[in-house]
Amino acid sequence: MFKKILIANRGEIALRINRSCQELGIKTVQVYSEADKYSMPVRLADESVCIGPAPSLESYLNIPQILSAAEVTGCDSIHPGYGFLSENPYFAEVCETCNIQFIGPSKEAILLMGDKAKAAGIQVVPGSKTVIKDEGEAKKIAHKIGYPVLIKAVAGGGGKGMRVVWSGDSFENVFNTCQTEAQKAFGNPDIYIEKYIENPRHIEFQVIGDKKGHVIYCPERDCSIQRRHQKLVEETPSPALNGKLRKKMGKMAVKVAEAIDYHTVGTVEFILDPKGNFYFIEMNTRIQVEHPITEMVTGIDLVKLQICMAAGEELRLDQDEISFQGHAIEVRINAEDPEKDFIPSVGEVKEFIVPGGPGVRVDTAIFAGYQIPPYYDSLIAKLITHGRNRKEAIERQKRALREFRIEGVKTPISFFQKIMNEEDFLKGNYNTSYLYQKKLS
Amino acid sequence: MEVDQIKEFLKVLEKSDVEEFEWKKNGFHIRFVRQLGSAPEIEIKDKKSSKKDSKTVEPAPLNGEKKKEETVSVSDIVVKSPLVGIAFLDVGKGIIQEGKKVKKGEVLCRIEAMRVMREISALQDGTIRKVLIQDKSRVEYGTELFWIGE
Repeated sequence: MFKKILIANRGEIALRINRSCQELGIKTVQVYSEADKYSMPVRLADESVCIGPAPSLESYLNIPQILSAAEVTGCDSIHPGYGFLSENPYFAEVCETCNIQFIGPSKEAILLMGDKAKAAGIQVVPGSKTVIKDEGEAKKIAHKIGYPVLIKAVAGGGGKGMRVVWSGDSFENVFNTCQTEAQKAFGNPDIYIEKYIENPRHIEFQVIGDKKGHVIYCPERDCSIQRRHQKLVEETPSPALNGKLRKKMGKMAVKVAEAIDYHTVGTVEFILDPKGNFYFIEMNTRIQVEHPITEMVTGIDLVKLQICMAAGEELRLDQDEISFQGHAIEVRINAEDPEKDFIPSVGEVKEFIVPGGPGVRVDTAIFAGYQIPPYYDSLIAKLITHGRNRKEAIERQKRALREFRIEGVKTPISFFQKIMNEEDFLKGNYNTSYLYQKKLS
Repeated sequence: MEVDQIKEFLKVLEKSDVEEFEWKKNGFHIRFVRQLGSAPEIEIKDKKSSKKDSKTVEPAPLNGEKKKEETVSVSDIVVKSPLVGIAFLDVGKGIIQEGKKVKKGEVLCRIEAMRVMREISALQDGTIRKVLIQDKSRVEYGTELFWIGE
């Protein structure tokens, strides 16, 4: 097992990783930018190292500084969290060269995931087979598969670097915007194209694999409630799946992971059309923002498992041992103003009182007096509720949202309260266009 | 100008892309220089203040390190580390000592990061007032290395 892990991330996920490390008896080194000097992850880690100024490119995306910090503090592994360098194949490779274990998949698994999945006979959404650099080539492919098409950043996530193009007229503009956005957000301008399926549900499966090739899946997460491709509400299990479909999709998810010799935690994402057809869209080779809902229903600590798998331990869980208890829902509380088109709201958090009681979990790194820096994403807390059934999980969301007190910055708490009372949501009747159709975004 | 005002002033500048800024008013003179990819260096001169009239500037704390009690003079330049690594004070002429006169461009120390040495040089002529790190010690981005006075 590892002795010391460097946490190359910030905010709530850095704290989340630190917690699992503490429980495993592993020392932690938190790297941070000057903007995060007084943050909770820095305070709670065993050691900390400042790696640069506030902008991500000079700190959390600065590979030489991070590796140097790992070296001078004697870390044997690096946990990248989500975003930043978590799915950067070059970083995974450099870590290996430096004899530092990257807690995530191999460079090959990140790079070849899509191709190998197709080779393994997994049904995918029609689109470009590889990264497209040239605008002309991209347009040809878009014509071939037919509009609307979706342009996505290879290193993407969280809705960044992703755009729908409805016709050939606006293609060039959108293509360039996507490349610029991808470069800015992830330091990698590579993008690809796929057919855009209208009104689907976004269903994803958590997979866990070890180095001996043993892979299992956890029940699905329904992440269909999105605003501009950014997930806002996630729940497990999905109201749209029955046992039969769950098993079919879960087996497919395992097949994807097996095709790339996947030996860590990951998420296989599908889109499910209203007729029940599903297509593999991508695999996220990292721990995800919404992982807590799976933890709540399965009782598994996914971050702990991820660390153990990276250390080469055997996965001592069989598929038939994975069962889910009840229902869990997560809402993402960002510092943004729902009344003003969700513009980011930075500044000092003057009051911060988190809800509690049965079935409530809050993952956050915020405290009263915290200054939200303008340089990073606006996620300030994840509110997760767990109930014996969907109804109870929703009632707990309503109750917890009422208890949550955040003063000083704007948050979408009232927006989530509307969703938790909305008729179609209560019936489980929604898809990725839900917020747009209900005029909630 | 009080320390709090200077801090406020720096906060504003840090958020901007300005690399060099100079301001003179009523005998007070402040100059701000930032090298690309490095921590900012600050030079403050106040004709109204005597040499004894020095002000405490909070140093960048390293974990577990006790708060330094030394004070930086208003006319000192603070040299900070632009990277994470191990600092070597011996640059070929023995370990750099306090009181040593240095010329602009003179190498003050070397920082090793991932087996690559990077030289840290003086930005202008002066005297080493304080050596704030030990030879072969760990430094991070923004760690204060030297105070250079006139």
